[in-house]
Amino acid sequence: MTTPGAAAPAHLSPLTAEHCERLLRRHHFGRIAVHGRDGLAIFPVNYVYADGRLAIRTEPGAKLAAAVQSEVAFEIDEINETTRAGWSVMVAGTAFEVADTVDDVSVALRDLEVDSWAGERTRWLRIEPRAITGRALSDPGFPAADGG
Amino acid sequence: MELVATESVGRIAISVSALPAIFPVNFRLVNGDVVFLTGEGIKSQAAIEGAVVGFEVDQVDAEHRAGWSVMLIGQARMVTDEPKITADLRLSPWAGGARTNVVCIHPEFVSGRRIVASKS
Repeated sequence: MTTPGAAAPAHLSPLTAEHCERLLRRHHFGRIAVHGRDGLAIFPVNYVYADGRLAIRTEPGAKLAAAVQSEVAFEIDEINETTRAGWSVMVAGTAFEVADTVDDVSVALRDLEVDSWAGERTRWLRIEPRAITGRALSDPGFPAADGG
Repeated sequence: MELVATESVGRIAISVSALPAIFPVNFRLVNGDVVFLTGEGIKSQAAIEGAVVGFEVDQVDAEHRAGWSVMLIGQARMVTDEPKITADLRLSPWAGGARTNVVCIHPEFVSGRRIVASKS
């Protein structure tokens, strides 16, 4: 069985803050976890990250309404199921609705082009990051999923 | 759940000190339950505590803006009395390492949606 204290696998290595931000800027699809009525719910979303700001566009009256003014987790990853290598970046923070009122943050976010993969969506959420963490996974020589 | 069975990577949402966290996991569907391996840590702790967790699987074609997403919510538990599951699973955690804890999520709520591009 697993030895206590020997938990952290050598294959998991933390990513630097710069690396995490670079990955966040480069990608535009992730998942957000919010506390819903029945528990933690996860939704795939389009997003944009720039200047330390994360913006998500969603539809009005969506399930993501529960996210407003609450703590959320946002995650992006890329996993090659064949090589079993990949990475994952998580942003923890508070979600806010981007108001119609003209303030600097709202204007900046609306200027950023978030191309929603589910079509026309007009509601905006921004996440104020509290912590951004990432980890790389490299697994050379690890047996394939069907190999044992 | 048929869609879920077609995938092997999903994301689990766990509440850590009341704050949500998301982790990708390599999983299998066994008798309708989501099963994955993990080491000592947040995920195994959630299972020990019998925490209610969220689990999501999706397949999204960003280019064509189409796909699906299935989300389930259920209690996580540690599988201790079914050693056969581990052998049958032939499931390897994608991060490798010493991961001998088998975590099982029995879905209480399942919801899914297909995403079809409404324009462009």
